[in-house]
Amino acid sequence: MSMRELVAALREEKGRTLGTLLGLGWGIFAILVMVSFGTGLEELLQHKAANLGPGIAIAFPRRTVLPHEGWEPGRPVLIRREQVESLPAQVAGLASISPEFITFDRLWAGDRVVRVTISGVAPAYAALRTWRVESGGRFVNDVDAAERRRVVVLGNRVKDLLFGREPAVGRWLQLRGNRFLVIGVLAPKLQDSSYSSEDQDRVCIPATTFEEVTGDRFVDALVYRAGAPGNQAQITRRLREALARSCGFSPRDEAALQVWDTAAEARMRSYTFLGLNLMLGGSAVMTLMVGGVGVANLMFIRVRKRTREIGILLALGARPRSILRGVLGETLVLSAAGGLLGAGAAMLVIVGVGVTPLIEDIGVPRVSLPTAAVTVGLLGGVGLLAGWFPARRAAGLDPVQALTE
Amino acid sequence: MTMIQLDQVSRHYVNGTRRVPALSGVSLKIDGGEYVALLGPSGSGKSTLMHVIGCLDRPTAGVYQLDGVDVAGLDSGSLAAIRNRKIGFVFQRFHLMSRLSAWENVALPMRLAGMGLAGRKARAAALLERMGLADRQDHRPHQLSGGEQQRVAVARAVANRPPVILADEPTGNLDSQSGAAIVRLLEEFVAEGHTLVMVTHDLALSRRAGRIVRLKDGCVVRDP
Repeated sequence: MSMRELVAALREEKGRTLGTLLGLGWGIFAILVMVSFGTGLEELLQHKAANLGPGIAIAFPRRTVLPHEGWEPGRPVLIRREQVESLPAQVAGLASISPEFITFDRLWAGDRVVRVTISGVAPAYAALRTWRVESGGRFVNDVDAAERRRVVVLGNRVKDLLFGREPAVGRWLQLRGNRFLVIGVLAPKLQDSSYSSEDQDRVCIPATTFEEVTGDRFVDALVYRAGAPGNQAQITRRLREALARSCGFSPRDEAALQVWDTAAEARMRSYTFLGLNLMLGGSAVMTLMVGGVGVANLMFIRVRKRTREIGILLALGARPRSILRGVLGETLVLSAAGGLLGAGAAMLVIVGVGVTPLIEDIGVPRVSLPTAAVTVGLLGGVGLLAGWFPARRAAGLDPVQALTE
Repeated sequence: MTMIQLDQVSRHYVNGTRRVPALSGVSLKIDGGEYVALLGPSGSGKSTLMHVIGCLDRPTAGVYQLDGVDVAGLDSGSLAAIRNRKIGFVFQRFHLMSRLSAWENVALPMRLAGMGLAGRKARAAALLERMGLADRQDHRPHQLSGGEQQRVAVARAVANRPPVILADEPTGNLDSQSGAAIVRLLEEFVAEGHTLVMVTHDLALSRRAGRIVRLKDGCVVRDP
């Protein structure tokens, strides 16, 4: 049966065909929309999390809770910058680490003043915590650290508060009576998690400078990342052991060094989204199955209505197998039409939402290649299954009886 | 040369638990080029015999050989090929495809045989012209009179040049004038060497055949 004949035949069943196409299309629409929105949201959260620092862990020294070598619990864990700097030599597999001193203080630019989080960090901090500096500026470097230079990199909102739209690099600030040269401004970024404050409200100075200006000798955090993504937990254990040795706390004392592992968090998140997508996708697949039942029903009706025609075809020498193929082919064409309908509607929604401001909160919905492939496969499978039984009935018709219809 | 040979062919239908015999031990031999009328009251088994000869139905007992081939051992695909190449059917109710034009109906057996579009279009046009329907090629069946529809069906029956034409009461739904025209057309093909087996209960019509086979209660009662 040619395409023209199929279209002509389906026009006689306009209502039922339309309903069937809508049923299938709705299933495809549901799959694509649900999974694409899930994918978009997951990518947004991943992007935001990566802006805190892709795959980093942050360790905060706290107080001991276990007695250790004669010491009572409740002692503060005190870690110096030099101890942090010696860790790469002790912990194999530690790719990058930076100490971080944190304080909250006033920053003056002429007669303007803001209260901000001030972080004293090593140059490695920029890569660890995704501090991309706007062009024309730079982050803290090794020379700054070695010479304890009075230089500062501003979070973009700090810069806006102090300088408005004017350029900040090259300007001078006052911090605890010291003059600091602005060497860079953070490029704006999306961030959904933080400690102390968001990076736009934070300024960075060299850790060595921080020590000299504040007199503080003990770091508030250690930011680090394993070389290979999989073994961060192992690196964290070795790092805890090394610090336990040099600071005198029990290596079993989890509370003495509180660790926030964003890699483990990201893994958790990807499992959550996998589960969510499977659930949403699964319920959408059910919708598609219901659409498939509609297709099977339509094809049964078609076969019944065409019984005499099938009888004629058999009498003229059509093979039962070609009758089977014909009905299956019709079903697949129908399924493809329904699928195109649903995919078109889904793309309208997906692309439409992708250009609205909503994307800042829900991400840019996106149909990934595997999603598209699985959807096409599912549609084909449903079409074949829906066509198989009517096709079998058509091919098994007794020509003599079919001709008397 | 024997074209159709039936030896003790029977066909039973199972109706619930009852076995209903439609054909009981029919033996018949028809040579190539013969013009045979199958005559008998309704329920005599002549349609069943026609279906068996046309390979639309299989005998439950006995041997049927078409053109020297025993059809009992053939699978459904091979039977389909035989129906396509060796048999041409003309039905009482025309049985044209309502959505196809006249020429597409004629071309259908050629399409099923795998002939190319240009070839089947040309042959369909030639056949329709011979049937006097040159100006009706693109008409759909519902735009044609009964006689015209049956002429399309005759053209379709001979499209693949089958040796055997089976006509099942071909004039049953036609007025006498149109019916006579159809029979004359069929007889033209007999003259060209086709074997024609025609089921009828029109006595006058059957007299035109070279041989009359009478059936009653599933048996051949007279075959001169």
